[in-house]
Amino acid sequence: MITVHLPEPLREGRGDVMTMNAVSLDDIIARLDLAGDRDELFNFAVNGELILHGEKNVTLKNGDEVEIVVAFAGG
Amino acid sequence: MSIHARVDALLGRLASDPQFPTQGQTIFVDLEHQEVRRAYIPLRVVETLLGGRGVNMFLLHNLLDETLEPIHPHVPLIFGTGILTSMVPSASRGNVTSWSPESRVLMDSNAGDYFPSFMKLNGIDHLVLYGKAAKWTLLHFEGNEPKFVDAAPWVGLDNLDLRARLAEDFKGVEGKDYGLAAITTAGENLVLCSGIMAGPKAIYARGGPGAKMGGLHLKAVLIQGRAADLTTARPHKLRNRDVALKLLSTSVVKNALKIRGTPFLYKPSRMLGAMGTKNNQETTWTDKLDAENIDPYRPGMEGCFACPVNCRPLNDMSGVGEWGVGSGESENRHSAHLPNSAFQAGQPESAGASASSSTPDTPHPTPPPDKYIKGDGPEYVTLGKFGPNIGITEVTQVLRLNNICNDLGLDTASAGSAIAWAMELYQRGIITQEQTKLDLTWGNYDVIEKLLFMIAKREGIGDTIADSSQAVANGKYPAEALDYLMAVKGLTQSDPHDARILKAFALGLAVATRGMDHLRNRVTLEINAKINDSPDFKAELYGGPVSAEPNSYEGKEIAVRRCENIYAVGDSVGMCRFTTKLFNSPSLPGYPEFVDQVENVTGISLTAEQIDAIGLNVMGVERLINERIGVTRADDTLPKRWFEEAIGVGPYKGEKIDRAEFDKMLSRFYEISNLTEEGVPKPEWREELEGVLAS
Repeated sequence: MITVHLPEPLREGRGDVMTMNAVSLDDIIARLDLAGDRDELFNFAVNGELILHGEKNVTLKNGDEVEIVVAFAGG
Repeated sequence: MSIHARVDALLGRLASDPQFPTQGQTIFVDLEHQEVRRAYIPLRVVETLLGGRGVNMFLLHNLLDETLEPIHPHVPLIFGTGILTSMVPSASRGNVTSWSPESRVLMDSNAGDYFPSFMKLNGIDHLVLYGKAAKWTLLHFEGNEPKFVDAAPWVGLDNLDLRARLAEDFKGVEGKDYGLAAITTAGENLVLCSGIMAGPKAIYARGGPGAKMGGLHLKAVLIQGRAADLTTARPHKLRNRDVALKLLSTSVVKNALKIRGTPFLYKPSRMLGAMGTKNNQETTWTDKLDAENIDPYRPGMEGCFACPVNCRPLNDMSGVGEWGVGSGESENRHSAHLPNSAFQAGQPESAGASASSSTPDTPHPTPPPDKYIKGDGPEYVTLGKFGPNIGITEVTQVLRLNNICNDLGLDTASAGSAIAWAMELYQRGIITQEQTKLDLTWGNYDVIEKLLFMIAKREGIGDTIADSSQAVANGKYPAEALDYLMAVKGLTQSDPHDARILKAFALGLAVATRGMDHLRNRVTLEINAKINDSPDFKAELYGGPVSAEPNSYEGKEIAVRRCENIYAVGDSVGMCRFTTKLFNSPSLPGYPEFVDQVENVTGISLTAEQIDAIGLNVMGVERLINERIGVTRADDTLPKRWFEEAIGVGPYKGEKIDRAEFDKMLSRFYEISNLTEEGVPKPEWREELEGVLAS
């Protein structure tokens, strides 16, 4: 089972924490139907480590914590 | 040649009439002799450098006497407003330019809120200030007519009281009736990390503009009314509607900037192991400072002139829990029940618990109910610089330090960095309590708060920290202190993100003409997996192949070049960096919108390629100015720590900057930027630029 933490902009109708069976980040995108919502603003972190590239190849194991993180720049 | 002779010579080459519809005047004000002269920037210069930051460089290049000291009143202070400022959504910005007393290289700082828009609304495109006024002066414009007002009643006032007093004395409301740029006591005292306040929080921050304005004995510039005829060459409002819709439909605006503003950035930086901590000795910090923990203290958002985004978070710690926003309400209730006792959060050593987490049972310290109980901000820079960088773990403490800095007119990037530098020197025994008279242990909140007031007054160790990066040159720290200064070209880093991992970011910080500042060229999208994993899209975005791997050096120069160009154009039209394409999103307004609106507003027709070349021109002139000041290739570098010490945590543990790879990347950057191996424009381009500068 994977725990997924959602940021505020993606919570509508979903809550802030979800659990699901998934074997990859691609699975999570599909299961949450995020492909449309998840544009350039959102990154994944797995067990607290931010994924900066190659996220389609990231596999998950039971107990992993996935967080979708808002990432941009400020001043 | 004196400044007066330089101004005479320049005026002889400027135009006496507007060159295009909506063009405002360039007004030269000799504060010493209370003389005012006016002209218009020639079309050839506008077509080469547009306006705002670009034309400010034209003016500085012509008026700079590099044999003087930066603080000398005959080195002018130049305000400029973007060519589209006040006329296009989110274009509310302007720049202030000079020779920096803090970094001793080019000074150029950008701010929004209302002052730049009130310049434009009153037909003032550029304001060139020089000469030291015999007594403290407030320059009061009604329309574009200035009056020299004795500023004695306002000297000694800081930002909050000053703005309140001026609203009474000039019988108006800032932002509605007038725009105001003013210095605080820190500026009066020539504090090198002080800025010019353009609003309650908006600040021309970087490079010591506050000290530079203080050196002129100029307390404030207040521009009242809306006198200019801004009839455009062609209708522009329909296209404005497109720009506004595009802004508001972009994810970064609707999902981030409008909700919480920039503090969102703290979390990805710390998760990456790239959060500058304790003067970048460490690179991760507590999740207690994540943006959602600020929610309970945010009563709303504010914005700049005619900007639909409203990205500036407000803060209020006096009525915690009553807004019902965010996930921190339970924390709020705990906090509200705390006795209003010591604001110091536990022991300073607690700051060392880098992995500490917030829980509902961990209330934030309750601040005292004085004028710093609420304010504007913080932005991500302040959160980083006054959180991890100096060892603070508590949200309420960061908010209070933010509010104090806004009042004292301190640049939170420079002031936070200078304090962190002092703390590391103290940690290493390079300076001692015998010298400082204060315990500069990391996270020692009470001392840090006290220190801010001492900096503004130049009291005790505050006098040393007020010298910012110049403390060694001024004989206040020993030379070995420079090994721990996190600065490039004399300017400490703005963005708290440690760039040892992200190589495009690192290159950008090294080559930025004003010093170590992310707002000149940050390739922000290199942290975005979705874009990194789309190589064709990424290549199209930057104009060439750029490695998908954040820590690779390959192709990063291409991305920095593209960002530097579009950001320079953004500064020259007056567009906010947060809403300019590439800084935060590939979907925000960029060249197509700028080209259309420049043509609609001014009648000047440019292609996307031509406006991109203007961005390059701005950088080229800035490098010519820096060359005269003595900047060389050796200054396009990074702090020693980043070459020699590796990141100690996170997915990129072990990462640092490889000197040889960096040097090759720098050479590639020069080559695609049409620069020589010494980092100045190649001869043919140099001749072109100098022809325009002398036109």
